[in-house]
Amino acid sequence: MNCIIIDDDDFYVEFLRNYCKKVNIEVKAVYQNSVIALQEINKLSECDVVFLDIHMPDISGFDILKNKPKTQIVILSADDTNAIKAFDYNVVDYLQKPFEFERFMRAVNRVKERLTSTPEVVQQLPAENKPSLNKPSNTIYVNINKRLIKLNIEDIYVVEAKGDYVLIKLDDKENLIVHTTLKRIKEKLPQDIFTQVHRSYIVNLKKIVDIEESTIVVNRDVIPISKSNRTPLMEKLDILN
Amino acid sequence: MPVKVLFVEDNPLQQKSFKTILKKNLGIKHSIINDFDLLKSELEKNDYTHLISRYAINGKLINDFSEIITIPTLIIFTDKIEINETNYSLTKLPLSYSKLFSFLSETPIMSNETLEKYAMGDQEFINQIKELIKEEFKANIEIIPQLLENKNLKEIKSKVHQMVSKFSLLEMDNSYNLSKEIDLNILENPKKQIPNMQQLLVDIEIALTQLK
Repeated sequence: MNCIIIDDDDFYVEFLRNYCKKVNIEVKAVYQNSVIALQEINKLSECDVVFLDIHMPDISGFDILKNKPKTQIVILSADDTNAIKAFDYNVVDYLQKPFEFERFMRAVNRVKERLTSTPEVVQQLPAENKPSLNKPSNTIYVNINKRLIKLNIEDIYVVEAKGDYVLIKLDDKENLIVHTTLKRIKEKLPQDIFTQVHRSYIVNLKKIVDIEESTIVVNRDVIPISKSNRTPLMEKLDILN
Repeated sequence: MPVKVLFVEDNPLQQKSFKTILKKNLGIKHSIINDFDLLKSELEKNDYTHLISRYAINGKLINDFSEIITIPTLIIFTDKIEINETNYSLTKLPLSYSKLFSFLSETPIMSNETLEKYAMGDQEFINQIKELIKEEFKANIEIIPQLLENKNLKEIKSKVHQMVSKFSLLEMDNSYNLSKEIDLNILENPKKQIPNMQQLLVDIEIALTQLK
């Protein structure tokens, strides 16, 4: 059995290395920078299990989970507040730091059970991860780790800038992180449906449910509106005075 | 319980010098009283963790109050006074920050039990992870005061978050609770959490002297 460790904390990298050594689990790679881990997400499928820390600077463990690594995942976290959310991603186990060897072994055994019971990891991914046969009429493709993923434009409700990445929020689907700029995404989206409301946000006009002085609610997300973008937004909306 | 020192001293100059010493470490809470008459009520109404006192004030001796003193105590003396046998720690005037800190560090704030259990008695592993904790604590003792000065709360939160599980591993209960509170609240309520952070730095500095 082999693993990859993604954790920015030297301490837990060594801690895990020691535990892995005790049970002959080969540590194939260690990523202490989550941005690099995300860029090389395809490599994660080359191992049996990834030990993934949740709290990391820039890109969190959840951002990596949202990109659907095709392998078994065991979450590491200093608290249990994210456990329920983590299990929504079909992770094998959730280890709260610090953890005893016995607890670590329970997680390893769960991984082994999954590896032997399902020949292909893709079979146990959530339903929304499986390729859809629907052919939406209005689509764009986004490049995620050299894979072109088709998106139905109507499903996008918010696009948020996150440093060198953008977070695409989708109705009833996992969010996606794409290595691009907000400007480039904006160029691809139809202007009659999408508008930029803030330097970090583009929203789908059809999904706006409430407008306040300096914020709007899009689906259930509260999004800030900058002063300069407020007037163009109001002009695009059908407002009954 | 966070470090809180009661200082018994009747000399205003020594009181001033004590306050100056504590400016080096804003996380050490303290009060000063002038004589032994207030000692009992002060100890009863406050949760002091350490007592620092002159050996003799106005003809009375600290030894006369041993029944009410249940916390670690440091006695300050001068050459002029002959000291009777005592169970308390002793130091000669003047009191310095290093003397104060080595006294505070005498009280154990951690245990190796959990760490040894997790490492299953592997001494090499224990030493390795202790070294890593020391490196992290040392770095944080340097960097967190700068982050506090620059009000970089996000980075403080990140540093504290990483330390939470180490406090748990070292059974530093007070530091564990304090760090969790800081981690959860510093972005929303920095006014309350900055003093907590200063207190946590005291624990970290003491821990560094005890991590052997």
